[in-house]
Amino acid sequence: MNADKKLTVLVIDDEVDVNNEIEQTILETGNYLTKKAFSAEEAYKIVKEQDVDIALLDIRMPDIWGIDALKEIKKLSPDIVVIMLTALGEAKYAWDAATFGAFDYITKPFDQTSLLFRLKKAEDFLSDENQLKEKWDIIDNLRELNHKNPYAATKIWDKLYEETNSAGLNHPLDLSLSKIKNIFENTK
Amino acid sequence: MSEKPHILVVDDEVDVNNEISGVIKDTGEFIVSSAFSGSEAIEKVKSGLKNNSFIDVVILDIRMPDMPGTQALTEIKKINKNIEAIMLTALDDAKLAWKAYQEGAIDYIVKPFREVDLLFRVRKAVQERERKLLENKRQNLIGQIYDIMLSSKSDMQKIQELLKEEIDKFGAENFAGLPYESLKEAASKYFNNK
Repeated sequence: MNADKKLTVLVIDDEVDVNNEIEQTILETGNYLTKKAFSAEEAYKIVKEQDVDIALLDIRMPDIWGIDALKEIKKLSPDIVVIMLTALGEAKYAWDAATFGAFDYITKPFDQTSLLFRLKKAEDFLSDENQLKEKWDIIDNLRELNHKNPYAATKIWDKLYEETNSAGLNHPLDLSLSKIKNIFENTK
Repeated sequence: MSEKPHILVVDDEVDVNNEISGVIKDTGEFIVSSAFSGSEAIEKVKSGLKNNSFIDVVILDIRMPDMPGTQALTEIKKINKNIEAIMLTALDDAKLAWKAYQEGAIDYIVKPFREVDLLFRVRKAVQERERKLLENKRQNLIGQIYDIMLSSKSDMQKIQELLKEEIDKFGAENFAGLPYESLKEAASKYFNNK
């Protein structure tokens, strides 16, 4: 996922009206792309074959209990952020879903503020995770560099710590991605 | 967090405060205390730091007579940025929750609250706080491992062999993908053999 790319949200709900209404609310923000599935089987196919970042998954569908569908989706694509959709009376199952990897839940009938807030949280989570991965990849180059040029590797490492300490942070990974890139490119 | 997580409930409405505290306390999973104003909450967070009775999550009413919840949030985050905050809002104020989120709150709950929602948000906030604490420990340990690697070629070779064992055991892509316990195992073996 790159920073400029719109995230894809898959709405999985057998109730056509609810599915359409959720999709419409999401599309109106202009911030996301959407896909729809009306059964778990249809959702698995989409997850296997296409890019999906966030799934909104109904906890009660005719063909399967939503928590079992959640487990299967996480097996097929562990990085997908799953938000459960539950009826008011079934919200008690939301924590069970969380223990199997659900990120959050929304009760139906949904209110727009809540839906968009939960999506934004999921989006921020994915963005943080991706930035962290990117930072690790850059910092991990130090091992390679240390084989070729230990002096340069130590200098970069010292600079990373100097910047971390002067910003009052705990660890070089707390520095911004651009700062880390800058240190790697400009420390001679 | 060795003991039970500590939750501070901040709401000037005594009944609401008692009700929220009661629901959380009844689970037996948390230590719960209350504050009835923004300034009392700030004092409790400060004294918690002094007495080693750290507050992990604060549930903070967005409208209080002495100061807005968002202001209390900013002050609390200044004292301890690792505290997670859940805002309490009336349905009409949910937009204020977005502002609080941008200023560092992790979530919000609408009043009148539903028990199931309250407990989900509190447990998630505690989980997130634990995840961040463990990730900090993990990152610090990785920092120490890099220090070892960069100290000499033979040290680098030794620690890399130990890390390789853990990577194979765990099935990670590289050592940065290892969990804290695996990294600790490799680092302990390195220091024990030194």
